[in-house]
Amino acid sequence: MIPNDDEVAGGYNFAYLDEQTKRMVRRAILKAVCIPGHQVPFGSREMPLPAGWGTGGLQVTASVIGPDDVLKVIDQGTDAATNAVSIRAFFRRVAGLATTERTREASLIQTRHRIPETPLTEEQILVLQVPQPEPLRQLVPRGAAARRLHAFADYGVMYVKLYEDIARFGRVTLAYDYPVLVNGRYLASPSPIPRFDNPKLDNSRALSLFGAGRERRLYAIPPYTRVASLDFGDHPFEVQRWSVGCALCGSRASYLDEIGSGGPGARMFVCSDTDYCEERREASAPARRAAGGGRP
Amino acid sequence: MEPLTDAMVCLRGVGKSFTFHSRGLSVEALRGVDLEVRRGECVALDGPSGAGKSTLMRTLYGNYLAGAGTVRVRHGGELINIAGADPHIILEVRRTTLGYISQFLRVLPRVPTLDIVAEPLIAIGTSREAARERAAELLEKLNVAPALWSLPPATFSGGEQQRVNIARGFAVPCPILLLDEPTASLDAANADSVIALIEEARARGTAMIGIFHDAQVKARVATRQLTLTRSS
Amino acid sequence: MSRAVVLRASGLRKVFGGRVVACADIDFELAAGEVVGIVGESGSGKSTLLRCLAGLAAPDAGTVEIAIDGGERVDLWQLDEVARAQALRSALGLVHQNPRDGLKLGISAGGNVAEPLMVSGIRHYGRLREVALDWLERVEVPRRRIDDLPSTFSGGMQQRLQIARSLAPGPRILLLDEPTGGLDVSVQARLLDLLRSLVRELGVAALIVTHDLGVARLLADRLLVMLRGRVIEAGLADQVLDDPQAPYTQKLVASMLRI
Repeated sequence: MIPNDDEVAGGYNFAYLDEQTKRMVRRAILKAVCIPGHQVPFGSREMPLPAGWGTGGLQVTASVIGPDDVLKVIDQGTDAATNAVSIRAFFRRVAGLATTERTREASLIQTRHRIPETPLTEEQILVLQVPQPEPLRQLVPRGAAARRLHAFADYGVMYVKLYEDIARFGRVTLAYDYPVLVNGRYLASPSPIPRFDNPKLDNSRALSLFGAGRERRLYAIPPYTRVASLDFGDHPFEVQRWSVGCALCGSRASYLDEIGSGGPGARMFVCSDTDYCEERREASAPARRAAGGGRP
Repeated sequence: MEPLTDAMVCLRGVGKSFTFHSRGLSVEALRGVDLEVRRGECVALDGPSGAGKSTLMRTLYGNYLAGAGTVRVRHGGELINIAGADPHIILEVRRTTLGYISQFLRVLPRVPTLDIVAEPLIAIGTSREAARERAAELLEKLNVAPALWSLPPATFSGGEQQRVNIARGFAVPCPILLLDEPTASLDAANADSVIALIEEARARGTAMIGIFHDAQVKARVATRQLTLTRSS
Repeated sequence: MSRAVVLRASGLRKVFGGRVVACADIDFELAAGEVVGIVGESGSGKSTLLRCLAGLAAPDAGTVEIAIDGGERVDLWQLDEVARAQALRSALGLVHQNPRDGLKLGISAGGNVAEPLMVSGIRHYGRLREVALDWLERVEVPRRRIDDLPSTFSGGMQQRLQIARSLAPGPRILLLDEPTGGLDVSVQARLLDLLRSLVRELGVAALIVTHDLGVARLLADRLLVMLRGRVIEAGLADQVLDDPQAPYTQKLVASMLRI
């Protein structure tokens, strides 16, 4: 969807940030791409959005996006959530950008908490909003100490966390933000995506950029980079599985959300990725989308 | 003077003084001691109390630093001067060549008797089983009741502890043995078994130097005598 | 017979604040499998020396060489920080006086023993578990305590756990800083016994800093006596203790005998 002229606000530089700031962020991104998984500091700016609502992703998107790009914004899998709606509207206003809800049509996808089910391509960039870029933060509270461990590639503390989980609960309990080793070198947070999405980062065709505005850090996973979720040989990494398929599209390969279906005690699972779900339903019954069928 | 080609121990002009810095005092304990001991010989050190018998034994063992002269022992094929040798060499000589049997056992609180006796053998590479077998044999010869073997000797009587220590001293068949009053405070029967071990070792060709207060024991085991006099 | 040297300090010097000489002209070697004691009063520089050897404090002059995998020796303080950390990780274990400095109190006993193995690349939970249990047994911590936090352990048990943690990766060198310092006498005896048998059994070279000459006599093959930052006497442990030469060593030994 291309914005109407009256939707676009005057008086702003293209994509809100001034060109000097974009250059600074792009330099940081270039460095991040060169050192996959390594956190690069950048001069995070005030954005017209509270810190913690995606200001890092916003600045990364603003720095790499061009007038011909088509933007998709996802929040928890859906384009319709508040955060997604307002960030999409922001770029329509300050960049006059075309936006879409379809994964296949987007050239740049900014997302929070999910990676689309539809496989990405070499033509696409994925921008992830990151609240806490430091995967060791919980284990090593001091930033300098954590940076030393990265420098030494000493990730024993993270393995200890996994060890303790298995000793105590019989399995690793991390359901999201499950740490990954990027290119065999740097431990990184994949952002708070479900561990279900971790395998999508491995050897992805798309460039993934991670922005943390409040923490003033960004990092990157270039296309075709090995991304391994930490595990033990005898306790291999596993993604979530469901005993049922999506109640709407029947997919058994996507990440499912549990929703109430109206009836007392009844539980229902549907795709978290609304675009993927719709696309599948369209493919089986093309008339439904035209009739306005979305999520119930 | 060159040592005899078959000498196991060769002391030349050995002297030792103790300097007590805090009292500004120096005491000479040994002066000009010469001694050669061959295979199968047992030399009894003799002399009045304070003549330096114990000092000489300790100097031979490297426990005291010799102040003058050379203290050579045959280790492997060559004579090594203990006086001024590198500590690693002394330890090496002690492990395989130079045994010291004294009256006093430094007790480790929790090590069982059998392992205390077996330990020197294990230290030179004997298998644990073989070392324990040899230890049991020695303890039996020295009349230490098998019921005690699995216990640490901390609670044993003085005589029992002494016999455990003697067993430990005989565990490795060292070619040179220093015997510091090995039978003191043992009853006649136990003294006999210690003497039997000493005679056995001598028959094997072990060169021995000892302090024996008991004249009968000395007469039985010593082949000759070196008399020390007070040097100061 | 010459045994492989696993640690060598040459001309080591550490000065604090430009004036206070903590240690100077330190030269010594640690051979494979031997136990060397460093004795002296507090303030004699022995702990500073240990810190220089353990990679915790950079000396102002001199070198510290340690043998790494393959027996080759590297100059610790010529290495960059990452290489130094790697060399130390594989070659050297450190036991602090206070077990709280050497353990992570927020993770289980098993996790404490297994962590250095995970750092060195073991990625098999069952194997880590096995090694941790084996080490707990060797240091006489009941197997059932494997998932308990060390903060629930007695002081002696914490110290034994720290020893397990430092030995589990199989270092050639073990540095111990007053390992029995904070313990009751009865607990000390047990720990010393354990240390003695472990060191003998594993053939690890140990350097033990202590002000307790009884500890030195029981554990050490050789002794270095330190006074005001310098080694003033060195030799066979029993010889130094029974026939001390330097005035200070005589005083030190005499003071021990009075107790």
